[in-house]
Amino acid sequence: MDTKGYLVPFAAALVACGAAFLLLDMAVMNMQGLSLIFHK
Amino acid sequence: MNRPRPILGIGLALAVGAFALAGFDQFGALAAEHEAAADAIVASSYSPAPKLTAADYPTIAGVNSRVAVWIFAQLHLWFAAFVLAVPIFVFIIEAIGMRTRDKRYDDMAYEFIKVSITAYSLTAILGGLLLFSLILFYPQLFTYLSTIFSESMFYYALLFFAESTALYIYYYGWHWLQGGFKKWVHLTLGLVLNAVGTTIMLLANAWLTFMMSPAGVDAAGVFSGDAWAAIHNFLWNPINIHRFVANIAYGGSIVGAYAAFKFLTATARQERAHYDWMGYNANFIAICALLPLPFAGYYLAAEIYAYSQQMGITLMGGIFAWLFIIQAVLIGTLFLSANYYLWCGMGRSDGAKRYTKYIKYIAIVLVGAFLVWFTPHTLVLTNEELKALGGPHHKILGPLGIMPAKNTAVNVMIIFTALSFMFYRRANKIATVTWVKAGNAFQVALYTAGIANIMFLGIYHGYFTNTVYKVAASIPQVLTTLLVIVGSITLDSFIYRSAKEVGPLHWGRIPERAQYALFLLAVAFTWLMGLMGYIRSGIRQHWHVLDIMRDASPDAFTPTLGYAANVVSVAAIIFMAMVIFVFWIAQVSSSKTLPAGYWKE
Repeated sequence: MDTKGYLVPFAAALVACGAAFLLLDMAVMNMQGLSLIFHK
Repeated sequence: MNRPRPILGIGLALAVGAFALAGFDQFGALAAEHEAAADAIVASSYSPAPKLTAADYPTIAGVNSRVAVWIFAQLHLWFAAFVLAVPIFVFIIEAIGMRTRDKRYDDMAYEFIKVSITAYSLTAILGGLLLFSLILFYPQLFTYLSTIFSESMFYYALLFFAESTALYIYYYGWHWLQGGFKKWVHLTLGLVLNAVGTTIMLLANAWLTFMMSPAGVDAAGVFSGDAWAAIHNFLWNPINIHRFVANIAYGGSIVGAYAAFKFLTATARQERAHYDWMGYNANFIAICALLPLPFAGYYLAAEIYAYSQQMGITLMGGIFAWLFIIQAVLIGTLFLSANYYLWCGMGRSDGAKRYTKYIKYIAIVLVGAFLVWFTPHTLVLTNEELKALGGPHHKILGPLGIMPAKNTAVNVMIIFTALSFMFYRRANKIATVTWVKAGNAFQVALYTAGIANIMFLGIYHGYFTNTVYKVAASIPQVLTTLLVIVGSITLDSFIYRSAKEVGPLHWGRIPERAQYALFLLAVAFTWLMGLMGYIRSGIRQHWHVLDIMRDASPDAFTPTLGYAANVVSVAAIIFMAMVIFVFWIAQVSSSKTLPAGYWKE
């Protein structure tokens, strides 16, 4: 496996995309008056 | 030489004549009232919704009125969906042809519209039959609705003429209006045709949604005189969106079936190549509209719940719930057949070998998601089975029966269908950009993170929170899916900008079984629309107009699901027979016989 050419960009992109999706989840749930993590 | 079809004129005359026969000459009177009287006076001139008895429903020649109206309405709707959708993508294909100056697009657009011309006549005839059957079998209901929608019904009839005019000039003027300014005039006619057709659909949608979510009337059904309020009722826009998208998917599937029919009957290699290309484009259109369709359906269902919890619960939690299992099977069939066609189509490229190894994994995911989608929540069981199971829910499969599991499954199916399409798109290309590895890595990361997010939302919010969170989490799920699709296609277009081609695409090099996938797509769509249309109408139960005008006919009960499925299936078979007739007519119109010695020299 090409570590520099593939794995590093993959890992970086995975972290970036994961963070972006979590931000999206938080924003959309907040817009509905809810938090991402459920509180009873 | 094609000639104008007189049958369309007959259909129009039937429809307009029916309006006149029914005594809807109140259009003029209403207009005068609007000008002369104050709103309050106008409002007081309307009567409440009539309280009906069984005697208000005529019996004619022993015909079951509900089944007659049901079948005519369904047949009319199938054809209407087809003829409204085809001009939309014909317009787009024509515009692509103008931009690329590739005449193949123009020829294909012409062939699509040619198929829809005969269907248009049948739509008009079936619309006339529906109108007559409503007037004859449900006169009180029709009179009440036509009082409220008198203006829109009048404009509907006028728009029908406008649509026919635009369609005929658009179709018969196709070869006349070619090149330069004339081509722009032709494209503009296509735009007018679509604008009129869509307006017609919106008006008809208002009538049916008024019956589900009446507006512009008081609790007794007295019309306020505000026609816009009645049109712009609570469920109007959700239905408009759902039907608009669904019609395009449906139109794509029907012309796909036409292309498959022509492919299978073609003998010349060039002809097979042409219809293979046409089938591919039709399937592409159907997939493009199919991907957002579950979201539009979910939005409609959510709005139905929001308007009336009783209707909403009847829809998916009550008697109609099991039809949703059939719906899930049919939608799964749509996704599987559309994907299967794409996989078969990869054989057109010599470069597809690089991607075929991944297809089995896509297939496994699609089948897995399909199984989750049609897993029922509550099983139909005998007492013994209930005891053996320990309750109505299966311990392992039961959790898959709730909506968060279905939402997760459908989002995953949509993402993997987009992935299939991306592999198809890449099959014949070799990227030349230097950052291709990093680009691919980013795409894989985007898919991985997106799917992980959908699973997180589905599992965490679906099983460890309350109902409010479950419903709310469906929105970021949808947005994640859309972002993955749009993001990956955008990135792909950059990676494959100025890409080399592996070789020429071999149009026509596709197994015949792929054509049957296109037939399956059309049949599954048809049946699905019929069943879901029945549910949408049936959730009103014993009301003509929900909570305002009660159905007092002998048919004011919800039939068994088996009976309803049989009626829809019979209607679907009739429709398919008519569609085969349309295909045959399109074929006959291009056939020529040279009668040697018949005519004088």
